[in-house]
Amino acid sequence: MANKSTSDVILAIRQHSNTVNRKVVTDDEVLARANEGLWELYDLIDGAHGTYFVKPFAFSLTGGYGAYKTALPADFYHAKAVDKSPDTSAMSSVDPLPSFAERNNTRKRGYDLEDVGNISIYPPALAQGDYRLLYIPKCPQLASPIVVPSTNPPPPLSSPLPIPARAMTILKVTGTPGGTLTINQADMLAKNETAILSLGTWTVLRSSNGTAITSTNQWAAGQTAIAQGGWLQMVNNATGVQRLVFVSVRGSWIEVQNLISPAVGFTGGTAITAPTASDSYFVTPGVGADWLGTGNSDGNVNPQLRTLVWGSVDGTKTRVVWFYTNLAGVTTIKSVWLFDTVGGAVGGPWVPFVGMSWDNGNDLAAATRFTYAQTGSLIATRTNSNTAELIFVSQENDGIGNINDRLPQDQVTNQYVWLNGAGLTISGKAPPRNGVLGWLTDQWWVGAPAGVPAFPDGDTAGGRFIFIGQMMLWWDGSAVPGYPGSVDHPEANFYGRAAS
Amino acid sequence: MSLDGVYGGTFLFNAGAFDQSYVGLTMTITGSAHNNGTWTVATVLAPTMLTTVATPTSETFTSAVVATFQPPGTLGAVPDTMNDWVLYAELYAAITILDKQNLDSTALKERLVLETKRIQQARAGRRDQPYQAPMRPRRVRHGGWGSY
Repeated sequence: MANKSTSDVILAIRQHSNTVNRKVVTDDEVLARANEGLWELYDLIDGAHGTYFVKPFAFSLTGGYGAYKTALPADFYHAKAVDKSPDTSAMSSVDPLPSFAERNNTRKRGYDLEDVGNISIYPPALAQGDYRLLYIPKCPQLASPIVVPSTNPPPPLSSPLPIPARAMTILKVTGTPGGTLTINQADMLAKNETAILSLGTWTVLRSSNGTAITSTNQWAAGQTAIAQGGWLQMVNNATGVQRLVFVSVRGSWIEVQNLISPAVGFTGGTAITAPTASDSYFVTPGVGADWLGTGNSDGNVNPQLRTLVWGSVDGTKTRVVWFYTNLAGVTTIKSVWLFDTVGGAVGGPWVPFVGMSWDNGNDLAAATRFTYAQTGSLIATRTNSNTAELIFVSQENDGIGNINDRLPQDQVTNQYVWLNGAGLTISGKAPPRNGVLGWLTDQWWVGAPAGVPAFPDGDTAGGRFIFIGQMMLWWDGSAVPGYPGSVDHPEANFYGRAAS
Repeated sequence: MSLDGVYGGTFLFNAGAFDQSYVGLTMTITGSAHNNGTWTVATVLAPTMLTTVATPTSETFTSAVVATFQPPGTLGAVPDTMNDWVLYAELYAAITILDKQNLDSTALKERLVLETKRIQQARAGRRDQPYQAPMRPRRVRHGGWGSY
C-alpha cells in the first residue's frame, strides 16, 4: 500500500470530523492539525519503541578550550546516546553529564546539550576524539506540494500538423529561353499547384489553358496545358480565401502572377487575361518569371526544382517552399509562400498570407542571407546572463511589389520589433506590410552543449530549426534550411523523380 | 513572453516564483514529452527559470505539463516509519477540529485510546534488542534542551 499523501490525510481527517462537505475549516488548518497529530504519534512511537527513529550523527573534536563542542544537526529533536570511537574495538559510551557542576570533572567524560544548539564533551581536556551521536530527529511535517503548471495555451486547431512533405523534380528538358514559358517552368508550376490541391483543402473554381476557360483543373494535364499561358483559380475550403495563379506569355516577356483575394474573390478574365479582385495582392512579385527558377539568369538551363507543400489539418494554412539547384549543385530556397489565417496583422485585421522571397535574380543562399553565422554585437535576450542574437532579417516585402534587402543581417539593436503576419520581425522603419523573409535564431536553440540536441527534433546533426517568418523549417545545418535529406525528413519521404 | 519549456538546459515556467530556497529541492515533471520524472534543482536563475543537476532535453511544454516541488523540510506523504499508524494522527486532528466546534468527539476519543494501545503493543513481542526506556527532553534530567 502506498504511503498516504498529504491530500489523503487531509481527506481522512475531514471524513473523521464530518467536514468533507462542511467546509468550516480550511485545508491549511486541517493540515496544521494533521501535523500536530503526527507529532503526537511520533512521540508515542518514540516513547513506545525507543530507538525506532534513531539517526546517527558523526563528529570529531580536537579537544581543549574552544574545541570541545560542535553544532547539532539541523533536524535534532533529542538525544539517545553518544559513542566515542564508534565502529572501532575501542568504542565506548559517553554518558550524559550527571550535572552541569561536574563539567570539569577530569575523571569521567560526559556529553551535554546546550541551548545554542551544540553538543559538548566535558571536560574539554578529554574531548579529543571521534564521536557518534545517536539522536531522534524532528518529526517530519506534511505539506502540500507547490504546483507550477505550464501556462502555455493548448495548441490551436489550426496548428500545422505534419502532412507528408511533397517534392517534385522537374523534367530535365532544355527549354527555350525567352518568348515562351519553358517546359521546366510550366512543369514545375503545374506540379506545384497539383501538390497544393492534393492537400484537399483547396478547390478549383475555374482554369484556363490559354485557349479556353473551364470549371475544372486543366493544369492537371501538366506543363503542356499552360505552356502558352493560362490561369488557375481556387478557393480555400476552410477560409474562403481565393488564389489565382496566372501565366501570361507576351512575346519575349513572361509574367507569372501568384495572387490572393482574402474576401472578394476573382471574377472576369479571359483565356489569356487574368480574372481580377478588388482586394487582391501578390504572394510573389508580379513581374517576370524568375521566381520560378528558370535558370536563365545564371545560364543553368536544367535547374532542379522541388517544392514542399504543407497543409494544416483544419485547412486554414498552406505553406510552400521552392528549392532550386543550379548547375554547380548549389541548392537554395527560391520561394516561400504562406497562406495563413493570422489575425491582427499589420495592414489589416485579417491578413491571410505572407509570401515572398524573390530578390531580383539573386538566390537566397547568398552568403549574406542564409549563411548561418553569428556576427556582430550581441544583445541580451534572456535573463540567464547569456547574450545572443535574436532575429536576423535578410529581406522584407513592403507589399507594393518592392523587396527591400536588409544586408547584412540586421540585429535587433536599434530596430523595431513587429508582430505581423510573418511572425516576430524587425524593421528599422515602417512595419513591413506583408512581412519579411529572413530568419530567426534563438540562443536557446543553438547554444546547447555539444552532443545535446538543442531542440528535440531528433536530428543527429544537432536538432536545429530555422524560422522563415512564421514558418519553421527543420534544419540540419546545411546551407539550405529545410532542404530534403535531413534525418527527420529523409529523401524517401518525398515523391517525384529523383534529382539526377 | 516565451513559452514554458526547457531551453538550453534551463527550465522556464512563466507561473514560477522560484527563489534560492528551491535550490536542492526535488522537482517532479509530469505531462512532458521528454522530461517526465524527478529533477534536483541546481540553480535558480530567475523567478521563472531554474537549472537542474541533470541536463534535461529541450522542448516547449504543452499546457498539460506540471511541475511540483515539495517545500523544504516537508514531506508529501506520511513516512514509512509512521504510515501504519497514521490513523492515530488523523483521529487526533479530527478530535481537535470537533472540539474546536464544540461538537461531540467521544467516539473518536474512544477510537484514539484503542489506537494508542495498538501502537504501544505493536512491538511488544519484539525481542531483537533490550528494552530501552525512552529519553525524552522533558523527562530526562540531562540530555534535553534547557534541562537545568
